Amino acid sequence: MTLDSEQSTSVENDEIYRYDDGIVRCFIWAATFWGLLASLAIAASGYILLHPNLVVPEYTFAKLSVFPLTLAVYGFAANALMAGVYFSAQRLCHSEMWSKGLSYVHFLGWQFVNVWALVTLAYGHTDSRPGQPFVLAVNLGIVAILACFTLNLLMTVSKRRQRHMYISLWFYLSSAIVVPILQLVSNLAIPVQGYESISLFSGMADGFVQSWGRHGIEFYMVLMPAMGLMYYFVPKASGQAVVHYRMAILQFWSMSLLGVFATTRWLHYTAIPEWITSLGMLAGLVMFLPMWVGVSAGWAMLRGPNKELTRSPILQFFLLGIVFYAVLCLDTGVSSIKSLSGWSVFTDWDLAHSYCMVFGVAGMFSLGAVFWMVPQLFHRPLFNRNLLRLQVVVAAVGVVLLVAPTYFAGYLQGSMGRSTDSSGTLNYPEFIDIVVAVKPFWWATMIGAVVVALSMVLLAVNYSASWAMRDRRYSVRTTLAPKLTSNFEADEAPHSDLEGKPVLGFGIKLDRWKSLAFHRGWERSPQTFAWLITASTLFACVLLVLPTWAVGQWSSEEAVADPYTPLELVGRAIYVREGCASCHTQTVRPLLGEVDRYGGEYTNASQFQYDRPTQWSTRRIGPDLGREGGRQNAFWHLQHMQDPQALNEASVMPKFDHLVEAEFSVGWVRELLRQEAELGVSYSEELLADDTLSEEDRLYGEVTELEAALQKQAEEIAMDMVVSGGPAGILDKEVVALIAYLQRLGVAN
Amino acid sequence: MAEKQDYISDGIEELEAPIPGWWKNTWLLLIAACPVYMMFYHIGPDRGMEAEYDAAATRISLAKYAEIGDLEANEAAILTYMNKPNWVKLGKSIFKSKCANCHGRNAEGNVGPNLTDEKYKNIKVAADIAKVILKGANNNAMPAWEDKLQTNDVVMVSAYVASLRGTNASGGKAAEGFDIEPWPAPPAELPNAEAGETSSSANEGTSE
Repeated sequence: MTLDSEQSTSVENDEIYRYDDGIVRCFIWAATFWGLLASLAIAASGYILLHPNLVVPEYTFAKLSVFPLTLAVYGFAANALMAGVYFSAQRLCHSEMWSKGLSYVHFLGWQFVNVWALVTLAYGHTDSRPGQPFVLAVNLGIVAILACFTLNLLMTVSKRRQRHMYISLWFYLSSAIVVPILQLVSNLAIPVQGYESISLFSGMADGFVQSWGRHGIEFYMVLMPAMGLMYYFVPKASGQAVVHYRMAILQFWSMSLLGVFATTRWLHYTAIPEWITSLGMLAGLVMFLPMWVGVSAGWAMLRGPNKELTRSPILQFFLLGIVFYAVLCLDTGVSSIKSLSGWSVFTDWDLAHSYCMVFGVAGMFSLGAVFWMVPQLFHRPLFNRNLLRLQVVVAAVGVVLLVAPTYFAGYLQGSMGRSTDSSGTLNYPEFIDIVVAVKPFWWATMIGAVVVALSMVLLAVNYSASWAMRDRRYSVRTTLAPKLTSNFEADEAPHSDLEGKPVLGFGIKLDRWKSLAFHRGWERSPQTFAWLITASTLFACVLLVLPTWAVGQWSSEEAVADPYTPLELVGRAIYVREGCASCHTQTVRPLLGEVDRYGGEYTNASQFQYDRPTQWSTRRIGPDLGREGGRQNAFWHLQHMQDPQALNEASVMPKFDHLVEAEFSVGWVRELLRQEAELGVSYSEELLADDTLSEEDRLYGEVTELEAALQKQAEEIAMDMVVSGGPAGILDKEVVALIAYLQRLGVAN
Repeated sequence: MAEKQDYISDGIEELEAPIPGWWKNTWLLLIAACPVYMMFYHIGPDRGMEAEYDAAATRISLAKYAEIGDLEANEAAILTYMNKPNWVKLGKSIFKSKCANCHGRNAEGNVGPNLTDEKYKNIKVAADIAKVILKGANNNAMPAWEDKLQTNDVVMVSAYVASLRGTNASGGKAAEGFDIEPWPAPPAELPNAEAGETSSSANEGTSE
């Protein structure tokens, strides 16, 4: 039963309400399920990465690697955090949710979009954006469900019975408002046919939106609510007060306003306008100190006067959460710095950051919250406290094994990749040396994921046993609180030492402003929060997305490169379909060592102008392909696709020999060409024309313009192969198209 | 009766501890430094990443070949440097990052021919190695590297490849091509930059 001072005021004003804990229980069930699935998916894809030819060729690591991160972020983290959010938001507002129906639409809808996303991905419908690879329809579904939650939370907050909004609610509001905006803006696409959609942005702008959107969504959907949970559940569990309330104000606004800029730091040294990444770097650095406030505040709230911490497994979960959050803060600070990002970006560091956020921060805080909530949810103590103690250890070992080796693998990839001696000669000229060095860490990560899965099993056992042993009948507690009236006394102006001194009125005002007392007024006004957050996010979208888009447009008007030929275009579609971007980036950054390794020149914006989606990607499991064109001959590519291990024993590339069997249809190529033409790429009318040839024409050997163009280029490639001793007669196979595309990468023409 | 505001939410109390001065000052200093950074790097002279890279690359490349200056990819240069272990080592590193895919990690041959035997397909004299690297061969089965490598790098790779002759790496691909004359002795004079300038050579490598 909650007690607060407002209850003592006029009794006739009191309203009766019941907290809806059913929705909390639902989200915990879902989180357990998705957490188990996500950790198993990480383990499985890790195992397949180390055994590239274990599975049928249609399900290579390249294709499967979209699942782990999606399951972890959208499946596990989003559900686990929501349990705590629904629990604490109701209690902090002294109100049930505004609409119970909307709560369950959110819950069921969210499970539905997750399943829908998985099924569409499994059937190969993807827009190939790292981290959020869903097609337009699924994305719109996600946005709609997120919007339901946003509406519900905003209405609950505005109908609250506690005048002052507590810190946690700020974080929830920021998350609820920013995530749908980012999800929508970064996935703007044009529907093509059925489930297929094609990015509204092309080239550089698409590359920007992919990375910025994904990292922004992780920041606001995972990190921000996790912070909110920390500010609610840690003091509840430890009985401490929030000492640094003023620091929390700075932490919240810095993260809320700067986070959307700071995520551009993942694009340092790419072709996007440099001032944008400079902004990202500065935002990340300015955000670092306020972000760290979360660490010290969490620690201060955790450390009670008694020795609780050593005894309470719940507090130990929170301690782990704070430790991983500290790691994430350091990571954000370090990888913001442009020159250091040269080592961290395009490596496993990227994945380590996400895993640390999802399983380390969100996972630990929500596990602690779940076990703290269980007695209230089931009206009986937890099933088994020793099992809980065991789970703390298992979860800690699992997440450390999952995160630490991944960070270290990233560091190794970055440092070995660019390591040169004093004369600028690469110390590890063969890419395979890096792969071999990193392999043990992939093993460790995989084992870590298995241990995390084990901890999810323990959660499932303890939670479902508590559920099964609940009393069949119990009364749901009702709570009383007076309705908010407009009649309240504002705080007195804060004390200023300057009062009565011979200073200007402005000086006194400034001194009062510095005490941040004005923020108390904001905390009574959810509108202020909603408008500030919405406006700043939209401002960031306009400031960042518009220029990249405009510069991209401008560079395509310059027409630096020729559009892809029909054969290259279909090769590109195959590259996207096969998920090559899971392991290969396409950006040679202007960095010593990197240019030496991957090409004669670094990458520039015009190289990608016809790319939808852009295939910059995030991780270099294999070498960068930004300047691949012309480095190897066609026959090498063919042999490498058929059996990479024959050319390089240690290679982790799966066999793509099914591409040597599969033929591509001219109809598909025509469809792709027409799509491009509609988006403004210039192809001749003859190429786009329907196939009007009769059977008789064909008997006389006539072919359409498109067929002729395809054949001409395919013959050139086949000729290259024959000259080097390869097979003839594979003209219309998919592999030839893919090779045509690879040979085009980074070649100016 | 007007209600009095308090700052306890669901039992959690918010204490207004002051913000530490060192913290606030460091943070404000950082914020103040931001416009300075933006102005320094994005207004006025070009100090961007590309300019920075170009300068560093030029410096490194000058330092790397400071002793020998700009070479030409000719017979004399290759024969001279194939006998200098330091430079052969450099050639080997370039070989490993650019050529090993097709020719094998130890040049034992793979898709491309074995370079450690005594037979050659497109090569009669040492200078031809550089020519094949620069221009490609066999209808681009051997790709042309003239846009991707500096001339000096081509000389060093050629020197490394020339030094491999007859080493017969284990697991090598069967020999292809013809027997050719053994490499002649290296010239007495080092083909340094000045010599390079005066001699007229058929090879016009791109030196950037």
